[in-house]
Amino acid sequence: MSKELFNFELVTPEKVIVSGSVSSVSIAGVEGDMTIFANHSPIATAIRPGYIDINSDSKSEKYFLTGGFVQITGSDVVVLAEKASLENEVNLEMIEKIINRTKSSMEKATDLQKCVLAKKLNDLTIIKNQL
Amino acid sequence: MPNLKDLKNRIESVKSTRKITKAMQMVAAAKLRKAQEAAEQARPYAEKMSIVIEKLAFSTNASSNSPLLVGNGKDKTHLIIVATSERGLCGAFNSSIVRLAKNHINHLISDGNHIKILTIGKKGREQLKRDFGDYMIEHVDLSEVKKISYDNASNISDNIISKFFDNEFDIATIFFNQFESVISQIPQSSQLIPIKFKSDELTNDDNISNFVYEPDEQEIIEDLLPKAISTKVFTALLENGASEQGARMSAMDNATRNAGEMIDKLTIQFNRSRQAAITNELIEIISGAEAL
Repeated sequence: MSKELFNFELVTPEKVIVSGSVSSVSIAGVEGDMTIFANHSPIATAIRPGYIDINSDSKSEKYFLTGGFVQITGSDVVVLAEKASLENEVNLEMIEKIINRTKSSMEKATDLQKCVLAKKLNDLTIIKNQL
Repeated sequence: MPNLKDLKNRIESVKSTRKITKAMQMVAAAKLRKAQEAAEQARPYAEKMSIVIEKLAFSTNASSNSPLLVGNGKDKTHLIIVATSERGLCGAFNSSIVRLAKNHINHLISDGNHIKILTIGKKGREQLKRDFGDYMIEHVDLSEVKKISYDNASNISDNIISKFFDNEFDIATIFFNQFESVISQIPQSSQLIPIKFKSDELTNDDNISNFVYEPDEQEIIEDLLPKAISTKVFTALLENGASEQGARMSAMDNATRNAGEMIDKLTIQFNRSRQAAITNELIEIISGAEAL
Protein backbone atom coordinates (compact mmCIF):
# COMPACT_ATOMS: atom_id res chain seq x y z
CA MET A 1 0.00 0.00 0.00
CA SER A 2 1.29 3.40 -0.88
CA LYS A 3 2.14 5.72 1.94
CA GLU A 4 1.36 8.89 0.06
CA LEU A 5 -0.35 11.46 2.26
CA PHE A 6 -3.02 14.02 1.53
CA ASN A 7 -4.62 16.89 3.42
CA PHE A 8 -7.72 15.98 5.28
CA GLU A 9 -10.13 18.11 7.27
CA LEU A 10 -13.11 17.11 9.33
CA VAL A 11 -15.10 20.24 10.06
CA THR A 12 -18.22 20.67 12.18
CA PRO A 13 -20.11 23.92 12.75
CA GLU A 14 -18.60 24.20 16.18
CA LYS A 15 -14.99 23.53 15.35
CA VAL A 16 -12.42 21.88 13.14
CA ILE A 17 -12.06 18.39 14.57
CA VAL A 18 -9.31 16.92 12.44
CA SER A 19 -6.94 18.79 10.21
CA GLY A 20 -3.74 17.33 8.88
CA SER A 21 -2.04 14.83 6.61
CA VAL A 22 -3.48 11.36 6.51
CA SER A 23 -2.91 8.28 4.42
CA SER A 24 -6.47 7.05 4.01
CA VAL A 25 -10.03 7.88 5.00
CA SER A 26 -13.02 5.55 4.91
CA ILE A 27 -16.39 7.16 4.50
CA ALA A 28 -19.97 5.94 4.43
CA GLY A 29 -21.17 7.71 1.32
CA VAL A 30 -24.82 7.70 0.33
CA GLU A 31 -24.02 5.60 -2.72
CA GLY A 32 -21.87 3.19 -0.79
CA ASP A 33 -18.83 3.07 1.42
CA MET A 34 -15.57 4.27 0.02
CA THR A 35 -12.00 4.59 1.08
CA ILE A 36 -10.06 7.57 -0.15
CA PHE A 37 -6.35 7.52 -0.81
CA ALA A 38 -4.14 10.27 -2.13
CA ASN A 39 -4.80 11.50 -5.67
CA HIS A 40 -8.42 10.51 -5.66
CA SER A 41 -10.42 11.91 -8.55
CA PRO A 42 -12.55 14.98 -7.75
CA ILE A 43 -15.87 13.96 -6.32
CA ALA A 44 -18.46 15.42 -4.03
CA THR A 45 -20.88 13.22 -2.20
CA ALA A 46 -23.29 13.29 0.66
CA ILE A 47 -22.51 11.13 3.65
CA ARG A 48 -25.06 8.89 5.28
CA PRO A 49 -25.08 8.52 9.04
CA GLY A 50 -22.24 6.22 9.94
CA TYR A 51 -18.63 5.94 10.90
CA ILE A 52 -15.61 7.56 9.36
CA ASP A 53 -12.18 6.00 9.69
CA ILE A 54 -9.19 8.27 9.51
CA ASN A 55 -5.81 6.59 9.17
CA SER A 56 -2.49 8.33 9.27
CA ASP A 57 0.97 6.86 9.72
CA SER A 58 0.98 6.89 13.46
CA LYS A 59 -2.64 6.48 14.45
CA SER A 60 -6.15 5.84 13.32
CA GLU A 61 -9.27 7.54 14.56
CA LYS A 62 -12.90 6.66 14.19
CA TYR A 63 -15.77 9.12 14.43
CA PHE A 64 -19.49 8.80 14.16
CA LEU A 65 -21.12 11.31 11.81
CA THR A 66 -24.82 12.03 11.69
CA GLY A 67 -24.53 12.90 8.06
CA GLY A 68 -22.72 15.46 6.05
CA PHE A 69 -20.89 16.09 2.89
CA VAL A 70 -17.46 15.30 1.54
CA GLN A 71 -15.64 17.16 -1.16
CA ILE A 72 -12.54 15.73 -2.73
CA THR A 73 -10.41 17.96 -4.88
CA GLY A 74 -6.99 17.08 -6.21
CA SER A 75 -5.03 17.52 -3.02
CA ASP A 76 -7.61 18.15 -0.32
CA VAL A 77 -10.39 16.18 1.23
CA VAL A 78 -12.88 18.12 3.28
CA VAL A 79 -15.68 16.55 5.26
CA LEU A 80 -18.45 18.83 6.46
CA ALA A 81 -20.42 17.13 9.19
CA GLU A 82 -23.17 18.50 11.34
CA LYS A 83 -22.04 16.50 14.29
CA ALA A 84 -19.04 14.29 14.87
CA SER A 85 -18.55 12.22 17.99
CA LEU A 86 -15.80 9.82 18.86
CA GLU A 87 -16.74 6.21 18.46
CA ASN A 88 -16.82 5.52 22.18
CA GLU A 89 -19.17 8.45 22.80
CA VAL A 90 -21.91 6.94 20.69
CA ASN A 91 -24.78 5.50 22.69
CA LEU A 92 -28.34 4.38 22.18
CA GLU A 93 -29.84 7.48 23.72
CA MET A 94 -27.97 9.75 21.36
CA ILE A 95 -29.00 7.82 18.27
CA GLU A 96 -32.61 7.75 19.38
CA LYS A 97 -32.57 11.49 19.86
CA ILE A 98 -31.36 11.96 16.32
CA ILE A 99 -33.95 9.52 15.00
CA ASN A 100 -36.74 11.40 16.73
CA ARG A 101 -35.51 14.66 15.33
CA THR A 102 -35.31 13.28 11.84
CA LYS A 103 -38.85 11.97 12.16
CA SER A 104 -40.19 15.31 13.28
CA SER A 105 -38.49 17.19 10.47
CA MET A 106 -39.91 14.69 8.01
CA GLU A 107 -43.44 15.75 8.75
CA LYS A 108 -43.05 19.08 7.06
CA ALA A 109 -40.56 18.28 4.36
CA THR A 110 -41.01 18.41 0.63
CA ASP A 111 -41.14 15.17 -1.32
CA LEU A 112 -37.54 15.30 -2.37
CA GLN A 113 -36.43 16.06 1.19
CA LYS A 114 -38.60 13.26 2.49
CA CYS A 115 -36.74 10.89 0.24
CA VAL A 116 -33.40 12.05 1.67
CA LEU A 117 -34.68 11.89 5.22
CA ALA A 118 -36.18 8.44 4.83
CA LYS A 119 -32.82 7.09 3.74
CA LYS A 120 -31.19 8.77 6.69
CA LEU A 121 -33.72 7.27 9.04
CA ASN A 122 -33.07 3.85 7.66
CA ASP A 123 -29.32 4.18 8.17
CA LEU A 124 -29.80 5.42 11.70
CA THR A 125 -32.01 2.49 12.56
CA ILE A 126 -29.40 0.08 11.29
CA ILE A 127 -26.75 1.75 13.44
CA LYS A 128 -29.07 1.68 16.41
CA ASN A 129 -29.63 -2.03 16.01
CA GLN A 130 -25.91 -2.62 15.82
CA LEU A 131 -25.26 -1.02 19.17
CA MET B 1 -25.96 71.65 51.08
CA PRO B 2 -25.98 67.95 51.88
CA ASN B 3 -24.63 67.06 55.26
CA LEU B 4 -21.54 64.97 55.87
CA LYS B 5 -23.40 61.78 56.66
CA ASP B 6 -25.31 61.89 53.36
CA LEU B 7 -22.16 62.52 51.37
CA LYS B 8 -20.40 59.66 53.06
CA ASN B 9 -23.26 57.32 52.24
CA ARG B 10 -23.27 58.40 48.63
CA ILE B 11 -19.55 57.86 48.27
CA GLU B 12 -19.95 54.39 49.72
CA SER B 13 -22.77 53.55 47.36
CA VAL B 14 -20.90 54.77 44.28
CA LYS B 15 -17.90 52.77 45.43
CA SER B 16 -19.90 49.59 45.58
CA THR B 17 -21.40 50.34 42.17
CA ARG B 18 -17.89 50.70 40.84
CA LYS B 19 -16.97 47.36 42.32
CA ILE B 20 -19.90 45.73 40.56
CA THR B 21 -19.21 47.33 37.18
CA LYS B 22 -15.53 46.45 37.50
CA ALA B 23 -16.41 42.84 38.22
CA MET B 24 -18.86 42.74 35.32
CA GLN B 25 -16.24 44.16 33.03
CA MET B 26 -13.80 41.44 33.98
CA VAL B 27 -16.41 38.72 33.61
CA ALA B 28 -17.35 40.11 30.19
CA ALA B 29 -13.70 40.15 29.18
CA ALA B 30 -13.33 36.49 30.05
CA LYS B 31 -16.57 35.58 28.29
CA LEU B 32 -15.60 37.66 25.29
CA ARG B 33 -12.47 35.61 24.82
CA LYS B 34 -14.52 32.42 24.85
CA ALA B 35 -17.16 33.82 22.54
CA GLN B 36 -14.54 35.03 20.11
CA GLU B 37 -12.92 31.63 20.14
CA ALA B 38 -16.24 29.96 19.42
CA ALA B 39 -16.89 32.34 16.53
CA GLU B 40 -13.39 31.73 15.23
CA GLN B 41 -13.79 27.96 15.32
CA ALA B 42 -17.11 28.09 13.56
CA ARG B 43 -15.73 30.07 10.66
CA PRO B 44 -14.14 27.27 8.59
CA TYR B 45 -17.39 25.32 8.41
CA ALA B 46 -19.40 28.36 7.39
CA GLU B 47 -16.89 29.32 4.74
CA LYS B 48 -16.63 25.85 3.26
CA MET B 49 -20.36 25.39 3.36
CA SER B 50 -21.01 28.58 1.45
CA ILE B 51 -18.37 27.68 -1.15
CA VAL B 52 -19.93 24.27 -1.70
CA ILE B 53 -23.48 25.61 -1.90
CA GLU B 54 -22.43 28.37 -4.25
CA LYS B 55 -20.82 25.90 -6.59
CA LEU B 56 -23.81 23.63 -6.46
CA ALA B 57 -26.24 26.46 -6.93
CA PHE B 58 -24.52 27.56 -10.09
CA SER B 59 -24.10 24.10 -11.50
CA THR B 60 -27.65 22.88 -10.89
CA ASN B 61 -30.21 23.65 -13.48
CA ALA B 62 -31.88 26.93 -12.55
CA SER B 63 -35.35 25.69 -13.41
CA SER B 64 -35.29 22.86 -10.91
CA ASN B 65 -33.85 24.81 -8.04
CA SER B 66 -35.14 24.41 -4.53
CA PRO B 67 -37.45 27.12 -3.17
CA LEU B 68 -34.97 27.68 -0.37
CA LEU B 69 -32.53 28.86 -3.00
CA VAL B 70 -34.70 30.79 -5.42
CA GLY B 71 -37.65 31.70 -3.22
CA ASN B 72 -41.27 30.84 -3.76
CA GLY B 73 -41.81 33.53 -6.36
CA LYS B 74 -43.45 36.00 -4.00
CA ASP B 75 -41.98 38.78 -1.90
CA LYS B 76 -44.94 40.20 -0.01
CA THR B 77 -44.58 38.64 3.41
CA HIS B 78 -41.35 39.19 5.24
CA LEU B 79 -40.16 37.35 8.30
CA ILE B 80 -37.85 39.51 10.35
CA ILE B 81 -35.68 37.64 12.80
CA VAL B 82 -34.17 39.89 15.42
CA ALA B 83 -31.37 38.36 17.45
CA THR B 84 -30.52 40.26 20.61
CA SER B 85 -29.19 39.48 24.05
CA GLU B 86 -30.95 38.02 27.06
CA ARG B 87 -29.36 40.45 29.48
CA GLY B 88 -29.00 44.18 29.60
CA LEU B 89 -26.14 46.40 30.74
CA CYS B 90 -24.36 46.13 27.43
CA GLY B 91 -24.53 49.66 26.16
CA ALA B 92 -26.16 50.30 22.82
CA PHE B 93 -25.82 46.67 21.75
CA ASN B 94 -29.52 45.85 21.66
CA SER B 95 -30.75 49.29 20.65
CA SER B 96 -28.54 49.35 17.59
CA ILE B 97 -29.91 46.04 16.30
CA VAL B 98 -33.46 47.06 17.07
CA ARG B 99 -32.97 50.42 15.38
CA LEU B 100 -31.75 48.79 12.19
CA ALA B 101 -34.59 46.27 12.28
CA LYS B 102 -37.16 49.00 12.91
CA ASN B 103 -35.93 51.03 9.97
CA HIS B 104 -36.12 47.98 7.77
CA ILE B 105 -39.61 47.09 9.01
CA ASN B 106 -40.94 50.61 8.54
CA HIS B 107 -39.48 50.68 5.09
CA LEU B 108 -41.15 47.37 4.21
CA ILE B 109 -44.48 48.41 5.67
CA SER B 110 -44.51 51.64 3.69
CA ASP B 111 -43.93 49.56 0.58
CA GLY B 112 -47.06 47.61 1.39
CA ASN B 113 -45.48 44.38 2.59
CA HIS B 114 -46.70 42.13 5.35
CA ILE B 115 -44.41 41.70 8.31
CA LYS B 116 -43.90 38.90 10.77
CA ILE B 117 -41.36 39.14 13.53
CA LEU B 118 -39.52 36.39 15.32
CA THR B 119 -37.35 37.49 18.20
CA ILE B 120 -34.39 35.73 19.71
CA GLY B 121 -33.40 37.15 23.07
CA LYS B 122 -35.51 38.96 25.62
CA LYS B 123 -34.14 42.45 25.17
CA GLY B 124 -35.07 42.82 21.54
CA ARG B 125 -38.57 41.56 22.16
CA GLU B 126 -39.10 44.13 24.89
CA GLN B 127 -37.98 46.97 22.65
CA LEU B 128 -39.95 45.85 19.61
CA LYS B 129 -43.14 45.07 21.51
CA ARG B 130 -43.99 48.72 21.92
CA ASP B 131 -44.17 49.48 18.22
CA PHE B 132 -44.71 46.16 16.51
CA GLY B 133 -46.39 43.99 19.12
CA ASP B 134 -49.06 42.91 16.65
CA TYR B 135 -46.58 41.51 14.19
CA MET B 136 -44.70 39.29 16.59
CA ILE B 137 -45.35 35.64 15.97
CA GLU B 138 -42.77 33.87 18.04
CA HIS B 139 -40.01 34.25 20.57
CA VAL B 140 -36.99 32.05 21.09
CA ASP B 141 -35.76 32.01 24.65
CA LEU B 142 -32.07 31.34 25.03
CA SER B 143 -31.75 32.55 28.61
CA GLU B 144 -31.07 29.05 29.87
CA VAL B 145 -28.36 28.48 27.31
CA LYS B 146 -24.88 29.13 28.60
CA LYS B 147 -22.95 28.34 25.49
CA ILE B 148 -24.68 28.55 22.16
CA SER B 149 -24.44 25.25 20.34
CA TYR B 150 -25.19 24.33 16.78
CA ASP B 151 -28.29 22.52 18.01
CA ASN B 152 -29.79 25.79 19.19
CA ALA B 153 -29.23 27.28 15.78
CA SER B 154 -30.57 24.31 13.88
CA ASN B 155 -33.70 24.23 16.04
CA ILE B 156 -34.34 27.83 15.14
CA SER B 157 -33.66 27.31 11.46
CA ASP B 158 -35.77 24.12 11.30
CA ASN B 159 -38.61 26.11 12.73
CA ILE B 160 -38.09 28.89 10.19
CA ILE B 161 -37.86 26.46 7.29
CA SER B 162 -41.04 24.63 8.26
CA LYS B 163 -42.81 27.98 8.47
CA PHE B 164 -41.53 28.76 5.01
CA PHE B 165 -42.97 25.56 3.59
CA ASP B 166 -46.26 26.33 5.33
CA ASN B 167 -46.30 29.51 3.26
CA GLU B 168 -46.22 31.70 6.31
CA PHE B 169 -43.71 34.04 4.73
CA ASP B 170 -41.75 34.58 1.52
CA ILE B 171 -38.51 36.18 2.60
CA ALA B 172 -36.63 35.79 5.86
CA THR B 173 -33.99 38.18 7.09
CA ILE B 174 -32.00 37.96 10.28
CA PHE B 175 -30.68 40.98 12.18
CA PHE B 176 -27.66 40.73 14.44
CA ASN B 177 -24.46 42.49 15.43
CA GLN B 178 -21.26 41.69 13.61
CA PHE B 179 -18.31 41.69 15.95
CA GLU B 180 -15.56 44.03 14.77
CA SER B 181 -13.74 44.90 17.96
CA VAL B 182 -14.48 45.57 21.59
CA ILE B 183 -15.49 49.12 20.82
CA SER B 184 -17.24 48.50 17.55
CA GLN B 185 -20.08 46.15 16.74
CA ILE B 186 -21.84 46.65 13.48
CA PRO B 187 -25.55 45.86 13.28
CA GLN B 188 -26.21 43.84 10.16
CA SER B 189 -28.90 42.06 8.29
CA SER B 190 -28.52 38.88 6.32
CA GLN B 191 -31.12 37.21 4.16
CA LEU B 192 -31.79 33.59 5.09
CA ILE B 193 -34.54 32.53 2.70
CA PRO B 194 -34.05 32.54 -0.20
CA ILE B 195 -30.45 32.09 0.76
CA LYS B 196 -28.03 34.70 -0.46
CA PHE B 197 -24.28 34.66 -0.78
CA LYS B 198 -21.69 37.33 -0.59
CA SER B 199 -20.57 37.02 -4.17
CA ASP B 200 -23.47 37.17 -6.54
CA GLU B 201 -21.50 36.90 -9.73
CA LEU B 202 -20.93 33.59 -11.40
CA THR B 203 -17.60 32.00 -10.67
CA ASN B 204 -17.08 29.77 -13.60
CA ASP B 205 -13.34 29.62 -13.51
CA ASP B 206 -12.61 26.62 -11.34
CA ASN B 207 -13.16 22.97 -11.84
CA ILE B 208 -16.85 22.76 -11.03
CA SER B 209 -17.62 20.72 -14.06
CA ASN B 210 -14.94 18.20 -13.20
CA PHE B 211 -16.78 17.15 -10.11
CA VAL B 212 -18.65 13.94 -9.94
CA TYR B 213 -21.63 14.31 -7.66
CA GLU B 214 -23.10 11.43 -5.74
CA PRO B 215 -26.08 11.10 -5.77
CA ASP B 216 -26.98 14.04 -8.05
CA GLU B 217 -26.61 17.76 -7.51
CA GLN B 218 -30.28 18.25 -6.85
CA GLU B 219 -30.42 15.77 -4.01
CA ILE B 220 -27.23 17.07 -2.44
CA ILE B 221 -28.43 20.61 -2.52
CA GLU B 222 -31.76 19.63 -0.95
CA ASP B 223 -29.77 18.04 1.83
CA LEU B 224 -27.34 20.89 2.24
CA LEU B 225 -29.58 23.96 2.00
CA PRO B 226 -31.23 23.54 5.40
CA LYS B 227 -27.77 23.02 6.85
CA ALA B 228 -26.49 26.14 5.16
CA ILE B 229 -29.35 28.11 6.68
CA SER B 230 -28.65 26.63 10.12
CA THR B 231 -25.04 27.60 9.66
CA LYS B 232 -26.01 31.16 8.85
CA VAL B 233 -28.17 31.36 11.96
CA PHE B 234 -25.39 29.82 14.01
CA THR B 235 -22.85 32.32 12.70
CA ALA B 236 -25.22 35.17 13.47
CA LEU B 237 -25.77 33.92 17.01
CA LEU B 238 -22.06 33.51 17.63
CA GLU B 239 -21.22 36.94 16.25
CA ASN B 240 -23.97 38.30 18.44
CA GLY B 241 -22.55 36.51 21.45
CA ALA B 242 -19.11 37.97 20.93
CA SER B 243 -20.56 41.41 20.22
CA GLU B 244 -22.67 41.31 23.35
CA GLN B 245 -19.69 40.59 25.56
CA GLY B 246 -17.60 43.19 23.77
CA ALA B 247 -20.32 45.80 24.14
CA ARG B 248 -20.80 44.93 27.78
CA MET B 249 -17.09 45.11 28.42
CA SER B 250 -16.75 48.60 27.01
CA ALA B 251 -19.99 49.77 28.62
CA MET B 252 -18.82 48.51 31.99
CA ASP B 253 -15.40 50.03 31.46
CA ASN B 254 -17.06 53.38 30.89
CA ALA B 255 -19.29 52.91 33.91
CA THR B 256 -16.29 52.08 36.08
CA ARG B 257 -14.48 55.17 34.90
CA ASN B 258 -17.52 57.36 35.46
CA ALA B 259 -17.97 55.95 38.93
CA GLY B 260 -14.33 56.78 39.66
CA GLU B 261 -14.83 60.36 38.53
CA MET B 262 -17.96 60.65 40.60
CA ILE B 263 -16.15 59.36 43.67
CA ASP B 264 -13.41 61.96 43.18
CA LYS B 265 -15.95 64.76 42.92
CA LEU B 266 -17.92 63.57 45.91
CA THR B 267 -14.75 63.17 47.95
CA ILE B 268 -13.75 66.76 47.22
CA GLN B 269 -17.21 67.91 48.19
CA PHE B 270 -17.05 65.82 51.32
CA ASN B 271 -13.67 67.25 52.31
CA ARG B 272 -14.81 70.78 51.66
CA SER B 273 -17.93 70.33 53.76
CA ARG B 274 -15.92 68.82 56.55
CA GLN B 275 -13.43 71.69 56.43
CA ALA B 276 -16.28 74.17 56.38
CA ALA B 277 -17.76 72.53 59.46
CA ILE B 278 -14.41 72.62 61.26
CA THR B 279 -13.86 76.27 60.34
CA ASN B 280 -17.33 77.05 61.55
CA GLU B 281 -16.70 75.38 64.87
CA LEU B 282 -13.38 77.19 65.24
CA ILE B 283 -15.03 80.53 64.57
CA GLU B 284 -17.65 79.73 67.16
CA ILE B 285 -14.99 78.81 69.74
CA ILE B 286 -12.90 81.89 69.02
CA SER B 287 -15.84 84.25 69.11
CA GLY B 288 -17.00 82.53 72.30
CA ALA B 289 -13.57 83.05 73.85
CA GLU B 290 -13.50 86.68 72.71
CA ALA B 291 -16.87 87.33 74.28
CA LEU B 292 -15.59 86.35 77.69
